[in-house]
Order: sequence, then structure tokens, then C-alpha cells
Amino acid sequence: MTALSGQGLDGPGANPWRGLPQAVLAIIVVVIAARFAPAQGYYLNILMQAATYAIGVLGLVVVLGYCGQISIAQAAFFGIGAYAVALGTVDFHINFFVALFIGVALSGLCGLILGLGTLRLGGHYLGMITISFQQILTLVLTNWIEFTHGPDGVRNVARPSLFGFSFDDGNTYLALILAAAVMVTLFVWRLKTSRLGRAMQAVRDNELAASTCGINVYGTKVVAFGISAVLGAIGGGLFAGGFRYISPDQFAFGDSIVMLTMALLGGATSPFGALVGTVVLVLLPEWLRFLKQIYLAVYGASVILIMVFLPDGLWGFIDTRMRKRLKPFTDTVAPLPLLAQHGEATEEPVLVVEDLAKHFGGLKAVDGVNLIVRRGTVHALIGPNGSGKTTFINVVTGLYEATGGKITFVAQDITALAPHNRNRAGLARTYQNIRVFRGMTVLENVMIGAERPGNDVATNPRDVIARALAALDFVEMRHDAHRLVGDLSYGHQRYVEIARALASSPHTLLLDEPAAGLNLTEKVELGHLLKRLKGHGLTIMIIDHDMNLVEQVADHITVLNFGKRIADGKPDDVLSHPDVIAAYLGEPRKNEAA
Amino acid sequence: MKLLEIKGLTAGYGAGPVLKGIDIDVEEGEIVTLLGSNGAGKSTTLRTLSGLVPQVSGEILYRGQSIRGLKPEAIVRLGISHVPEGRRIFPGLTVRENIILGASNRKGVPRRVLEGEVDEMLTFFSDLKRLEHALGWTLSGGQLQMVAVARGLMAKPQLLLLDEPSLGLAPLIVQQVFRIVASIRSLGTTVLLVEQNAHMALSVADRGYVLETGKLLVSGKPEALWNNPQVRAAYLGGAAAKSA
Repeated sequence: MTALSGQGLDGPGANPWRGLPQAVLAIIVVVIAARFAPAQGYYLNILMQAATYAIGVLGLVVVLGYCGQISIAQAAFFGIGAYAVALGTVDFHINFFVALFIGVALSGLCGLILGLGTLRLGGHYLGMITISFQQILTLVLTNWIEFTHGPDGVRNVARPSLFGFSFDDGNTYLALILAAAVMVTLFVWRLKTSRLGRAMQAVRDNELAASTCGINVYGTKVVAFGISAVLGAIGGGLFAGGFRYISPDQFAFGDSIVMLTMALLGGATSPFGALVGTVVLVLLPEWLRFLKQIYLAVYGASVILIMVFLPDGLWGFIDTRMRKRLKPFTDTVAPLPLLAQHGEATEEPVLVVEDLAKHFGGLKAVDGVNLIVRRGTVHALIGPNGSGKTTFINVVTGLYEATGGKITFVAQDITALAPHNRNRAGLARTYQNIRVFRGMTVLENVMIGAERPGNDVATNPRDVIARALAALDFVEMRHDAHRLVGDLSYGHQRYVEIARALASSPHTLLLDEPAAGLNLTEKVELGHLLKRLKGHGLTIMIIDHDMNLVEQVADHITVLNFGKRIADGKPDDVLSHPDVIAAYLGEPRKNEAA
Repeated sequence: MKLLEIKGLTAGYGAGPVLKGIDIDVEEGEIVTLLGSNGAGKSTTLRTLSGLVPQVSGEILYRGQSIRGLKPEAIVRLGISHVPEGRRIFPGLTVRENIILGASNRKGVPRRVLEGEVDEMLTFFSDLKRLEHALGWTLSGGQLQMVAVARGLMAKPQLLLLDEPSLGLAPLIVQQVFRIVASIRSLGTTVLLVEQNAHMALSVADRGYVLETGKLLVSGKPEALWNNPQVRAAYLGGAAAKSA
């Protein structure tokens, strides 16, 4: 497994075989070790426990570490796998692998049903439901005696044989478990840098931003939870074969908590963290046995101390230090041109908003606004603070449901569409109070943009990286590609967000105060960028308070005040409109540069 | 007398220092502005002054006393108040409650007096008047910014650290904010101002410092900075360069 970790941090490489040679090597080492340095009784048990638990904990890495959803039923899924193998081989005399498969399928199904029912609600509901599920399973295993053998448990669980080769010997079986653990580690590690894995992490870091980057937030959570249930059952099934005896108390609430602790202690965001956490928590009680009566207290205290001083877990601590040594991204991937042609600048209506309203209780944040944005233009939306500009954008992108009115985008009625489906149709945005995926690198953030479903410029992994790099070059942030976004300054986070939107090659880009936090030079550059983009048929709607920028780029200006449209037209007319001056500008326009 | 003396300050987070030996002086009653591009270390300077970022080396003297190792709340009690960028407003409290919390450091001042000062703030920021009893989370971005500035002023600090007070504010309100900043001085408050709107900042400041990647590039009077070609090219931008 050190061979795998030697690969280091997840580079964004697109090599489909990445990590596989190391995994194969690790398996060969395991098999040879099992053959020539066989483990004896006690150590054999410890190793089996660590390896099977590790597989279950790797499931938690997916649902908790990657997707940010708390599941407190990993021992239940572990138990479903274990009981499927035990009852299948002992009572029903079916093949070990068939029984394991049944357990995995059943567990995955349970995960899917639980996930579909609760994950739409968000928040802590999954945690609560999984606690209940865990308790119900324990009750069933204990009380359905005629089927599960009740508290007595199941004895003499069979070990498998494959093509006439028997895994009955302890060390041979251990080699099988370890090989499975290596493969699952490889899978979970690769998942992290896959499109699905990135989507999960985006959901973890910022659900709203993920949804407007075209990610189906609900679906992604359900898949993550399903994968964790499947991995739990694989671990459990192998566990049953290893110990040949199982009983309900091995898969109780406390064991789910132990697994959760293993993931958090090691560092839930990396599979290697899960391995480290599992090994430490399996070994720690064994090492501390000499302490006799006070052993539990010392054990608990050690876990608390590690969590206090290494909040990102043991692996997270190492990971942060290794990340610093990563070189700037100098790969030979050529940037794809950002300025893809988005059709002719025909000035036909792209976004048509009719009588749009959004009320919060008695507050009419947007109150019957009509607006037409034409293709290939820059349309500015301005107005005093609290006039409903951001709410307007939130309704257009689907974060808020409209109270009334109709939104048509490229001749399609999108009023009732989910945010990610509006993004698929080509509507991208940035946020006023920056929403980036803080736990991910700059490059990963922008890659999520490039991976927008329907982005025909970037269809394969190599193009996604190339596209992301092009967007980063545009905002001159390529040298920070491997830094965590959360570590950047405010203005640089804004750049990353703009790059993420650009990388998705949208038809229409909604920018909510992109110039806030930029200095004058940067604002001028942003203005040039916007003009170049519109020259290629991209349609832009911009909210900003910087009148220099707005005057410089806007073809058309709409002014809101108290949720109503108070002016609409060409920049010169609008900015000299007395109502606009009174409500917004404060004094007649004059040359800004003193 | 110098209110604040920063000497050879090196400070930063885990990943290596952001500030690499900077020297800044602020006289009592001055308005001093820090300019520079993104990532230059302006916000980090303010965060170090208010104890949120650890000093690595160098010295910060406030009224001649080192503030090294002091906790943020101890620094506030010394009379240094920080209005951070990005509007950290309590979402479950009303606008009025948020603003009055800014005076937490002023023990012994009667509630009635504080309520009166809040009323003054609400007249300063007339847009907030009708939102007096609205909860923090219902406000728009610009309204949050106004509340953050008002809350900072309530501390009646001797040294006010303002980080991008104009962020996200409409032009009319930006003018108001800078008018307030200029009038703060008459209350006896010294201001250290970080601002991307260099034109506005230099128009109210007595002196300015320009930072570049954690080091001091140049400092001086607003006119000198405004006319310094190096500064113009790097930070004031094409719009300003044109009018030269």
C-alpha cells in the first residue's frame, strides 16, 4: 500500500491505468508474504480485521470524505454483507461469491432506498435515518431467530474456492482479503480524481455552486451513499469468511461509530487516510492492553488528542505537507482556445424574462420585471443595494423558485427547470459572495466548470484539463493550479470563480459583481475580457456597481429599484435618467478619473 | 506621537509568510491607506494587527507597546477595531442588534446611550433605517456591508482597521461611506484603510503605502502616489493613466 501512496497526491492526469501497476505490485507482495511469512493465530486475526474494516471505512471515505454526507450505518451495511455470506454458505449452501454478491446487491439496494428517501432533504437527515436503520437492523438480526439464528450468531462460515483453488487456509484467505482491500483502495483513490468524484467533492464544498455548475446534487449524493453501502457489504462479507463466526453484536451502533472514527482519525478525504485510521484504531487497543483497567480511558484520550491536534486526520496532516512540494503545473497539455464561437452575434433574444416576481413573505424582492437579453451583447443590471438584482439572478438560474412570471432561455421555457438543468442548457454564473469549492485545488475547481454537461468543447479528460488551463491562463492563475482555493486571497478566489464559469463555455454568462475586490488594473482587464467574449457570440449579463466598468462594456442597461424596473435602454440614456441618478448614482456623471 | 509603528513585520499562515518585512507608521488622527494588487498582503496586514494572523518576526507597537501574542479580544480592548472584508454579520440577529454588538468592548456605557448611537448610524446609512428589525440573513450583500461598517464604528475605536468598506456598495452609498470615513477623524479616530477603489481611498487619505507581494513598494502623500508612474501602471490602471 505504500507503493500506492508513493504516487502522492492526485494529479489531474488522464491516464486510465494510473495506480494499477502499483496496486498489482502490492497484491503480489501480499501474496508472497502470505506464502513465505505466514501470520499466526493472533496476528492473522488482527490483519483480517484491519483489512475487512478498511474496506468498510473506504466506503465512508466516499460518502463522508468526498461527498460530505454523514452516515452512521456503515456497520449495518457491513453486517448485511456478513450475514449474506454466513447464511448463504451455511444454511443455503450456495457458493461464497454468489452469497457475497447477493449481500452486496441487497446492501446497495438498501442504500439506494434510504438515500432516495432522505438525501433530497439535505442537512442532517441522512445521519438521523442511518441511525434508525442501524438500530432496526440490529433488532432484526437479534430477534428474527428462525432466519438469522438470533443472538447465537452463525457458526462455521465457509471460505471460498475459485476454479478448484481453495482459500481455506488462513493465510491464503488473508491474501485474498488484502488483495480486495488493495483493489478497493485503488478504486476509491481513482474515484477522487474522476468526474464523479469531483462532482461529489463539489457537492460537499458548496451545494448551490455545484448545482449551477451542472451537477445533479441529489443524484450525486445518492450514488455516493450507494457506493458506500456496497463497499460496506464487501468488507462485511469478507469479514464473515475470515472469522467463520458472526453474531449481531459485531454490527451494532457502536461499531458504526468506530468506523466513523477510523475515517475521521485517518483523514476522511483520502483512501490512505482510511487505511491509516483503520490500522491505528485496530492496533491501538492491542498495544494498550498492558494498561489493563485504564486502557479504555487512555484509548479514548489518544483519539481525542489526535483529533484536536490534527483536525484533518493523520493523513490530512501528511497530505498538507506533501501538497506544498507539488510543482506548478507545467504539463505539455496545450490550452484550448477560450473564445469558441457561440454562433453569430445576431442580437436575437436569448433570455426573455416576462413579468418575473419573487416574494419572500411580504417582501417583494422582485416585483414584475420584464427584460430581454440579446445574443452577443453585454447587458448590465444595476441598482441600489437591496434592489433585487441578486434575487433576480437567483430566480433566473433556478436557486429560487419564481413566485410568478416566465423565463425563456434560447426558446425553451426554463421557469420550472432545476438549476443543474438550466446550466446544462448553457446558463453559467458567478456569485457575489464567492462560492468556490474550498477543499479542492484551483485546477479541480475550474475542471468542474469545464465538465459542464453539454460543454461540447471538452468531452474527454485531456480536453477538460486543457480547457481548465486555458481559463486559468486567462486569469493568470496557472501557477496556483495546485493550491487549495480556500488558501487564496479574496480577489484570487474571484478569479477562480470567473475561470470556472468561462471554462464551461456557456451560451450566457451571469456575473454577479465580478469586479468587487479587484483593483483598477484588474477591472480594466476584466472589461477587455468581457468585450472579447461577446465578440464571439457569448451573451453576458453583469451586475456591478463600478460604473466605469459598466459604461465600458455594456450595450444595454436595466436599472432596478425596490424590485421594480425603473429604467431600461442604451447606457447613455439610462445613466443620464434623473430617476437613476436620484436612486443610484447620487450625483450627475462626470469624468471619474480626477 | 506615533499611534502605530510596524517594524520589519513578517507574518503569515502555515504555507509561508505573506508579509516579508514591512514598515508602516500611523500618526494619531491620520487616515492612512494601503494599496496594492490582490494577494499583496493588505488584508493580511490588518488581520495581523488585530491578532488573527500570527507574527513571525518584527514588531508591532501600539502607543509604544508591543502587541505581540495578544489575543484578538485583548487587542480590541486596546482600542483597535477591525471591519473585515466579506461582511461577517450574525444572520440570526436583527440589523439593530448586529450594530449594537459592535460596542461590546465599551463596558459601562449605558444602554440608552448606545441605542442613541445606533440611531445615529441608521441616519448615516439611511438605507438601513427601514431594515432596523430585519434579520441578518435576509439582507442583500451591499446592505450587509453597510451593517459591517456601522458595527465597526460603534466600537468608537482609537484605531479603525477598514478592509474594503466600499465592496459591493452602490455608487451613492460609496460616496456616503467615504464621507463617513473622512468625518471619523473629527471624532478622534485614526483609520487604516485597505481599498481597491484607489481613487476614493487616496481622496480621503493623508498618506498611502503601496504593497507588492508582501513587501513595501513605495509610500507617500496621495498626490505623490497618484502621480507615481510605477504605481499608476501597476495599481491604478489604464483609466487613471489616461487622465494623466
